[in-house]
Amino acid sequence: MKTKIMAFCSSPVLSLAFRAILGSLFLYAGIAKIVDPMGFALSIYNYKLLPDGLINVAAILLPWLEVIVGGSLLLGIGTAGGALIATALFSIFAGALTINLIRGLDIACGCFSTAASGGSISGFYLLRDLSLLLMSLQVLFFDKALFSVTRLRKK
Amino acid sequence: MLKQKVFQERLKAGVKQAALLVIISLALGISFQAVRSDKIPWVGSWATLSTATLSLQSVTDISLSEAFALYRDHRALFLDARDPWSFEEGHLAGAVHIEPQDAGKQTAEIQKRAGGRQIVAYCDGAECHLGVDLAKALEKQGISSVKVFINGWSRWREAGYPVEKGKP
Repeated sequence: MKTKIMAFCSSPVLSLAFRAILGSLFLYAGIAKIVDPMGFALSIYNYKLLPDGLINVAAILLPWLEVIVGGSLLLGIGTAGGALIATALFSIFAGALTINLIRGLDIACGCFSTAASGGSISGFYLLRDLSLLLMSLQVLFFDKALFSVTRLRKK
Repeated sequence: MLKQKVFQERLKAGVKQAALLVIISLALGISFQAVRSDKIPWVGSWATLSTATLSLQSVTDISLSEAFALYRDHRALFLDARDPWSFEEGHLAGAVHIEPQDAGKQTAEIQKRAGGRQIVAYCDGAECHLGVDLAKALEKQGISSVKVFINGWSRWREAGYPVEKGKP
């Protein structure tokens, strides 16, 4: 039983599914933020974690990192790198969410949408983030690049 | 033991690939920033925004129940300071759309519409400063005692009070 669970958790097919999920989410989130940099900057500002001088820099550059990571995971190019960045990003987001949940700030998540009228952060967002973090770790260690550009080239 | 080695290899490859992905993202982000027309500056003026948002200064805010009482008794003109698209999707019934930067041009019109009633500006979200900005802009134009209904749209809608849709 234990080996079966281990085999399932380390399955490359599971990695493929996770890559599809994470890749699409990153692509979607990144594009939504590129379209509305001001909205995203306001979300970051509301978290009250970054110094003022870095808010816009993050709002301008972070979405592109999300798009590139999304592309890497979806296409299967450098998935270890994509998954490593994804893991780092989800860890940072988890930290930011936790700090502001403890502070009790009533702010929009700014995760997949830049709308200030989106839902306020809650434990649900943290759980969602941690689930995605686990998926990234699985891809980081077990992905065998099924259905990937890297594989196509090797054939 | 073998597995550990495989993981280490994968992590090593990951670090290299990640560095490359970061460089590509930076290059794309910086290039796009250079060409886009609706860009935001690299460094924003967040310090001034926070003081405007956090201290209402001369502007007074009203509670949800005060806002509703004014609405019920037809004693107020509500001004929606959000963007036109949000206004179109839904706003307080009878509210007029006006953004802070347009306050100067439409002062006479607003005064006419208000007809001596209380003027209340609102926005959406506790951090939204547009309502405060609008109230201040109107005060500069000589319309005094404009009140602000902070986070007005969300609170009004959640209370189930009358709303309507439509273009500004």
